[in-house]
Amino acid sequence: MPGAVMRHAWVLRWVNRRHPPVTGPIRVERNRIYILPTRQGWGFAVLLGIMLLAALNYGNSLLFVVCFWMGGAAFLAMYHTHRNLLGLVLTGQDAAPVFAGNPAMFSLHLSHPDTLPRYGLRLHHDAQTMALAALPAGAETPVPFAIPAPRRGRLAVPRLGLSTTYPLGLFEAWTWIHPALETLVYPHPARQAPLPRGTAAQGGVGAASDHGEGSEDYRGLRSYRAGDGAHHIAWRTLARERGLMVKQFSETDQPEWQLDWTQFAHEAEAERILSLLCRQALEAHDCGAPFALRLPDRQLPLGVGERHLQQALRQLALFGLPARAAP
Amino acid sequence: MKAARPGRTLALLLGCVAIAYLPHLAHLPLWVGVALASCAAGLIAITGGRMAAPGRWLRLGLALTGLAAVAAQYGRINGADSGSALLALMLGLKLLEIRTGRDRILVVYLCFFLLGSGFLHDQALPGGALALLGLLPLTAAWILLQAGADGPSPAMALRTAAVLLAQALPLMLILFLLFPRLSGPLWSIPRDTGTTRFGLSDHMAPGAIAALGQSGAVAFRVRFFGPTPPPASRYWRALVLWDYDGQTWRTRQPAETNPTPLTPLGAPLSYEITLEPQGQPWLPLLDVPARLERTQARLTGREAIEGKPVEERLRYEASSYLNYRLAAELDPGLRGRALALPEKGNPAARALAEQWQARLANPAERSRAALTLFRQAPFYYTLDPPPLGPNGIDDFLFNTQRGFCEHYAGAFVFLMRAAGVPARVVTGYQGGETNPLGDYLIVRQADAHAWAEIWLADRGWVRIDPTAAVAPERIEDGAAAALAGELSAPVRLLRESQTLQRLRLSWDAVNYRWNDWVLGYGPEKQRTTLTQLGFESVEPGRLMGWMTLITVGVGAMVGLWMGRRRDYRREDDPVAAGFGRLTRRLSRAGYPVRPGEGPRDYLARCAAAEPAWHIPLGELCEQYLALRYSLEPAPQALPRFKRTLRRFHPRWLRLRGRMPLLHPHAPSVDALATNALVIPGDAARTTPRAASD
Repeated sequence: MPGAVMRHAWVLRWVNRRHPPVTGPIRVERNRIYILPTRQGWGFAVLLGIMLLAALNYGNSLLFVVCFWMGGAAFLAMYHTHRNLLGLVLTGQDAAPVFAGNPAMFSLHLSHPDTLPRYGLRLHHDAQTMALAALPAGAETPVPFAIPAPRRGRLAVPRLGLSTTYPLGLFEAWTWIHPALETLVYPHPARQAPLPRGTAAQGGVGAASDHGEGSEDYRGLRSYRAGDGAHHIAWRTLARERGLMVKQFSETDQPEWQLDWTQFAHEAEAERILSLLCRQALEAHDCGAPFALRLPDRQLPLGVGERHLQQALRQLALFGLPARAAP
Repeated sequence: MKAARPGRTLALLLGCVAIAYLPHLAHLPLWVGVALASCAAGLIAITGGRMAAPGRWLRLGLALTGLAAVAAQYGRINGADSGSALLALMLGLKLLEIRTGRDRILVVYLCFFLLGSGFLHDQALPGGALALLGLLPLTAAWILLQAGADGPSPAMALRTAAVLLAQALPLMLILFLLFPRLSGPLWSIPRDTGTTRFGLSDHMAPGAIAALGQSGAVAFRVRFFGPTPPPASRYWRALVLWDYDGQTWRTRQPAETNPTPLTPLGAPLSYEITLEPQGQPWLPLLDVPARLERTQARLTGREAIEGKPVEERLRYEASSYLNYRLAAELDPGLRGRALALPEKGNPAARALAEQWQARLANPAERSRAALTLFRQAPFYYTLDPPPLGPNGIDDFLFNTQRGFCEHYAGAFVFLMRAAGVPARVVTGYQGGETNPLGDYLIVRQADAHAWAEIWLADRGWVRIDPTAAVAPERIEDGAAAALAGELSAPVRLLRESQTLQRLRLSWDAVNYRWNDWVLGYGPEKQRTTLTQLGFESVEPGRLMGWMTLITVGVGAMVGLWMGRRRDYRREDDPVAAGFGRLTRRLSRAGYPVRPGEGPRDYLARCAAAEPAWHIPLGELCEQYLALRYSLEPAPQALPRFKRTLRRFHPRWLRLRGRMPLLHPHAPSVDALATNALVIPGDAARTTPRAASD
């Protein structure tokens, strides 16, 4: 991607205006391809200049031929570089939701109408540059790329750059693409969270009846987490040196978990509370316990299962954020 | 950029260096090649991890050593050859410090430069053209090194390079034709080494011209603008030699500073000579030149002397007379010089000449007596005459009687001077081979010749060629015919085989064209060529303007052609393209398509909003849907759709609709507003393909 001038604030404003986020496939047309000589390009121009001086001075025809031939090729390389982007079709794919702090994996699908592969394309995002493998003809090439997701909320793909200097590296053609892709970033789960209020009193995890190993409700093993009761630990597995595991039971009489904002009202930061609630929701889901979520401005009724968990996490992710502007 | 496989990168770099150095292999000193090869070996070792890359100080030391070595070899570092040597050494050093992709590209750049600098040494045909071919693999290697690991295969890179160079070919030709040429260098060019002087020298001693007799090297080529004179008249004058010291003929001081007075006795012959570099300042011209089109040269006497030795191929036009009277009056000083002989030596020849002088009153008869001597005594024309004693002319005339043209010319002039006839030696070339393929004459070094001129009171300087008396076939058929028995086997084979003869002449014709058009394309040739092409002004600024204009134009055409291939167009499908045109026109009139809006809804919305469009949009919608969704559209459907579309100009219709005066029969707005647009959508929905759109 081009140098400092093109990253100047007013240039970026203009770029933003010119290339707003686009839903659906983006076809790279002439009106969105920009091209400038590279440093190597200027270097080659200097080389040709020196050769031209020598040719003039010695009146040497073949040196003229070399200068003019390579000069012509360099000039046409500009069109080749430009054409290397022309007609590319990019289709974006939303990333799966991630927890804050992990990268969101988006992907682009690139295709082009040529009969020969296209080489030397580079994808730029977040000041990172990624060289792409050759794009074969007549096929869509998936290009996964990771966008860091430091904060919860909606994460939109920033404006991406697609550039190339192929074939000679004398010119760099680039295009700004801004696919309207986004994903949800859940709060970062706190490392540990206390049990929800009232869980223990209602006979929560700690007070759950002791199911034996041969119980019909036995569901399987999961790895140990801090806070698991000692009577659930699968000692036999441990004795076989297969790690510290905890027996799980599909308890029909699972206690209900009430995840409540007010439990952590003493915490200073809302984000911290969301992290704690996030951990609680994950724990409840892991235990298979039905849980309800109460936030200051909304509630999620009692429920269980993957879908329920996603809904809860979604509410946590979007808590306090403005609703999405109408398209 | 990820680095490609190290082995491939290495092979590419070494290949580039080899291609770039190849043109220099023959003329740069061996040690430069060895140094470059050592650096290449160093690169191999460094890449293989068997050697550490040299540090900065070591590299600096090597660079200074190389500089000193070049300076010691050539005495300078800024000439063509020394520059090439230096470039090769610096390329070698660069090989030892390759770290990044940029370094690799720099190596490629240097290789281009080194390849180009080879032409400063040799631009002649096979080598020059072959070195130009080197641009292709260099460009391919450039692409591969540039693209790195994710780049194309070598074959694909070669293909891309070939396409690039083929597309650049017309640009190269335009630039080559139009780029303004300078008549002199921008700064003085230092000469590395004197050009090997091969050809006629400025003096004539026995054996000097015979040494050239076996040489097939081309001295010059001549194209006549009119008919070509017969072989016996083709005397090419180079130098006039006045002074004899008993061994050697030469001209100590210039005898005449102005052209010798000339009275033409016939029509002039115009011709153009392309002279090969000879390292001497004189320009050969036919017989007696009258006009020479070259500002750097002067006619003194009737010789043409260039300001400095000819180190590059020269082209000049001239005209000459074959019938003339040269110097009707002989200046007394010149007369004295034309009669001067050493005090002593060659008594027998002097005695013979004095005998003629006493017996024959007419100088012309004395010369005839000398020619008769040559013709009747057993003189023999040979490339390999026996050595002569101190009285060379006596020895030759009365003892050995074997000699080449310089023996005959020298002895004849000696005899004439001794007999009181003013005489001088002329050296140059005689004859020339016609190349029917190129319609020009080739004069070789083997055609070098010497003859005599005597001054007669009523006729001026008259050419006498004593060699013709001994070996008339030398003059009629050329030296090769006269010396057939003496030429070495390969030379003879070349002359005698018809096929080889044809091949040789074809090759020479190709060379001639190459020299004429490619190497000789200087300011003069550019002016004549461009004038013929219809350029009114060949002033540099004007040429640069045209050059830029045409280059950019042609480049843009190539670029557009690359980008406008069928598969880049928005729509291949004529129906979709037509509909696209329709939506663009409607958008410009203020009705863009809304997201998610199908064609029927869109056109209905437009028609409802603008009554003037009602009828045509109804037709277009019907035709479009029929084309798009019916299983077998009528063959006339597409042309009809296109026709309707052509006639539909929304903004014009709207304007006309708002001004009833323009269109008195337009239906009133009220009448139309009540009609709903009739859309034949139901039929479309029932077809199976409707769902897929």
